[in-house]
Amino acid sequence: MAAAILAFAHHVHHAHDAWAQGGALVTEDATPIRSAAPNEPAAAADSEPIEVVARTAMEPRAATKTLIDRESGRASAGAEGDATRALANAPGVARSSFGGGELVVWGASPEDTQVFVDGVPVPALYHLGGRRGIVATDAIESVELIPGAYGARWGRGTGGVVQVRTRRGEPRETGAALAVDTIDAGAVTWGALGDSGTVITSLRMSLLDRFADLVDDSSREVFAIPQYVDGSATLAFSTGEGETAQISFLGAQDELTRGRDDADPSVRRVETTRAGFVRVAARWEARRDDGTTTTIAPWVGFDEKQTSAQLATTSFGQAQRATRYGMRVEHGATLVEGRGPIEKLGLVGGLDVEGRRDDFSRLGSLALPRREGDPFAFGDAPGGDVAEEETGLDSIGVGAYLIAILRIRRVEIEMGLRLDHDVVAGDAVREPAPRTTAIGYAVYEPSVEPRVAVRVDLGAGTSVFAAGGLYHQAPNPSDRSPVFGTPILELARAVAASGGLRARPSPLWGFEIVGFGRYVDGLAVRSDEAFPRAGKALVPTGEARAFGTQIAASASTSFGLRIAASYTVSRSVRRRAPDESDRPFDGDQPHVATMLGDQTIGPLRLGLRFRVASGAPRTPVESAYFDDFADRYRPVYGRLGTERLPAFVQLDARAEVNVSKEPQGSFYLDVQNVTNHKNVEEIAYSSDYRERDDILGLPIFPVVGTRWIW
Amino acid sequence: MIGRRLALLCVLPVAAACVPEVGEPPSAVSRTRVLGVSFEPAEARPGEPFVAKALVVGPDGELDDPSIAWAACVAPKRPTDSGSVTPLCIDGPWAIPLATGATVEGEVPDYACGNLGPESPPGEYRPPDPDKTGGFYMPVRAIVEDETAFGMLRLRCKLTNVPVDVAAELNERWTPNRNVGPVEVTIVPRGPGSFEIRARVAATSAETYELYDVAEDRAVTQRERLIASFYSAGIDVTPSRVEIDPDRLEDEMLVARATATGPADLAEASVWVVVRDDRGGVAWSGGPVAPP
Repeated sequence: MAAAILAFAHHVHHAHDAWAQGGALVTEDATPIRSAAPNEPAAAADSEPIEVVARTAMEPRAATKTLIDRESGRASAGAEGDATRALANAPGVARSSFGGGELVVWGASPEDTQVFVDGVPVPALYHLGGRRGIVATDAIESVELIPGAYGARWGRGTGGVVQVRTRRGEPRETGAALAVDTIDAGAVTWGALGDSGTVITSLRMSLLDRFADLVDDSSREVFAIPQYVDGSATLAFSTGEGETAQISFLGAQDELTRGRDDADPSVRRVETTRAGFVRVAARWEARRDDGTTTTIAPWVGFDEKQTSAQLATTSFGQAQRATRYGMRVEHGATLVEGRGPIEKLGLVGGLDVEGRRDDFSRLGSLALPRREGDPFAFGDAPGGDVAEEETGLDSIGVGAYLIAILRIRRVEIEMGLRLDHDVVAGDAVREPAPRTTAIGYAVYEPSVEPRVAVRVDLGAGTSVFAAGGLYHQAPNPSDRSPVFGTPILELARAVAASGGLRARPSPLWGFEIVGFGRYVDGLAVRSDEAFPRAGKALVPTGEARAFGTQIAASASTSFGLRIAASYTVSRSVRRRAPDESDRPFDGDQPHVATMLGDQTIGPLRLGLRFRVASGAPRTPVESAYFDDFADRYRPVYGRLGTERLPAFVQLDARAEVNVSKEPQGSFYLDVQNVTNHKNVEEIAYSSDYRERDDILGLPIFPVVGTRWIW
Repeated sequence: MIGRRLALLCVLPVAAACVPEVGEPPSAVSRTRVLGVSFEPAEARPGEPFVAKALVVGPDGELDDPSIAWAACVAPKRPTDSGSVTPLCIDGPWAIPLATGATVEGEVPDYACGNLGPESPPGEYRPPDPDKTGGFYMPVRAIVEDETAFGMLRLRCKLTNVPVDVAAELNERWTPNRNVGPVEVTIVPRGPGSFEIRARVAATSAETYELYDVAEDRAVTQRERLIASFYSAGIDVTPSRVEIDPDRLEDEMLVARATATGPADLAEASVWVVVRDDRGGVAWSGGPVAPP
């Protein structure tokens, strides 16, 4: 939880003063009573920590979260100028493989962690390849990670929640930011609209892909060069006293090609993924003097993802298009204030509606795409079996939640109840015979999710906290395929809990220790039946367990040096069925340690990041057989996940020099792996699997950039 | 220009990271290997006999009378199984021992199309998926020394999940799958230590066949793809495999070429070429080849 590290420094120094702040990450202190609302500027959470500022309605908040503001995230060593990439430093977050960008939080699958931009769900936090967030850094206000055990405001997920808050303009303020580096170039503008309105726009496009011809196929087989464009526009204005309205647009388009187009068809391996999304959202919010708040936030959007691959002589293609929509209506009020021992009692209730229409087409082997837990060896190709489908799915979920927040002296209790009603209607319950009409289906899936959180202020800057609850998550829509999956799959159920202690004995240093655990069942896994029933290639028998402890500490000095360290020890295991033995989760990293250092000397700002992480699990190849039909050897695997890649060790450094105050201009150099440590990212095998070698990660990787603000 | 230099700074490390070449190329024969398994006939119905043979070679050339332990496997591939056969076929009880020898005679089990093809057991079971040519296959295992290989015998199963009129049309137009025609291998000097290996097969090796196109809802005619695989002991051959363009004829033959490098005074080398079609047809040729 390097994140926690600089939290104290953040409070001590003035928020949003990048040069004074120097911090790479900020975590919310447990002591403040008021926290940021989902769409509230991060500055709201940065109020003086001890002072109670709850003049408005009390709002639910996560027991554990990491909050990264734009400037500190951008300046974090190793983030390459992207604030969202600084999330990798947060405690409880596993290191993602190079070129992956998966967000594994508290041992949960990346798809279990939901990502929201201003409260609107988006398909991913990062562009394909994981080198950049989907929103330009100068267009965001902050990024927040709630790793788990969150309150009733959030549902439909068993992992964590990431909230990106976009930048808020100030009335009568006009400006622009231009950022160019070797990865991409983007511009953000902000301006006034009348007396109280603001307009913010951003546009960014990748640059690295324009030099892709400098990289040979063999390198691109491991490290794909991303190509993307993204943009956003937000129009905000006041509709009355205490009322704000906002209309926003957000979109991104990606293309990523990985592999080598070899003349030898047996080693040809080219995979191209195109992905994009668009969101249009509105939001109206009223904050009354009587302590009530009301929010109405509808949105619509469109997601698209296409993958086509040629793996040896086997082809694979998949396309998914989704029309998505949703709305959140929330009302909060303070019911009791200062009556007897009750300091405050507040209620927050809301409706959280989300629907989607998915249309799929898929052609290829049942083994593709690879699922979590499937054994694999780099360069292997699936069997030649081919299935095909075109189908669709409608789903809508209505979640109603009620949260009561009670504060009695130094104890704050948050009790929530969330009732979700999900209806899924698919075009086909099984593959229809030719010239027959598919038999559709509809399923109603209710779920009840109690949530609770308790915080006790022990005084002297120390607090203890605990939180937990029940959670549900629908299977990935593509898992409901009548050909490749199982249309009628139940929801995955999870129980998650966390608890810990956060202390800040002095304004200059503090620490935090958090324990966490999660148990999930009902996960969709591949059937191991020799003769699975039609429309039941997946079965909901999978189980997952994750538990661990994260420790974070931070300190700052009077001469501007800030250091922070975090260590997470955890275990994340899965099993295909209750009667089977555990195996490590694909993203399991038992040990992850991060150290951050940051020093400002005049116009120069220097940063360091040192990371150590356990290697990812791999399934050993025990032998191989020659498949004459495919003319290639195929691996025979040992026990799942009984081998690990070597530990990852890396030192990153960053230097930024401010060259101009008006306009504010700076140049920076962010260098990953400054010691050129040879980290193993994957295992390569000989064609007959009798020999193996390491595929190493990047050597020294510099990113040079400049940023100007007018 | 400056931007390109900056980008170079960033891109070059990526270029420095690549997949290492591990072990020998697929074409190298430095131990006993099974290079090909073929069946006669190349497609069989349940209950029909078949003969399987294998090309087994070593650094010293083709093994004269290899002792191959043969077994047929009728275990269906489960959704959890990766690769082309279930592990139950590799060392499990589902492998039915046949005999030991250079070739073997066997019979396709009556229930092969039920386990491995579209004739799934009564009840609404999900049958195995065919390959892109609409074929289903029975794995036949061949073990020689420490090498395990699987040949795939194409099964002639009943047409299911196909409209009656299309099934009738497909049955009417059906022609048996045949193995690839004889392969001729020659080696031609191209310069000091450089040779061209040339494999020729009859143009009729790329057969046409009928397939039910689900999207079009009709029978369509397809043509087999041919791939030539080059193997050698003592010289380096590249590429290991070459796709043969069925429309490009040379002297009315289909030709695949690879380049070999070896000593300039090469007197003889062992070279094998295995040509496969994408319906399981196989043929091979090779052995000691001397440059003219």
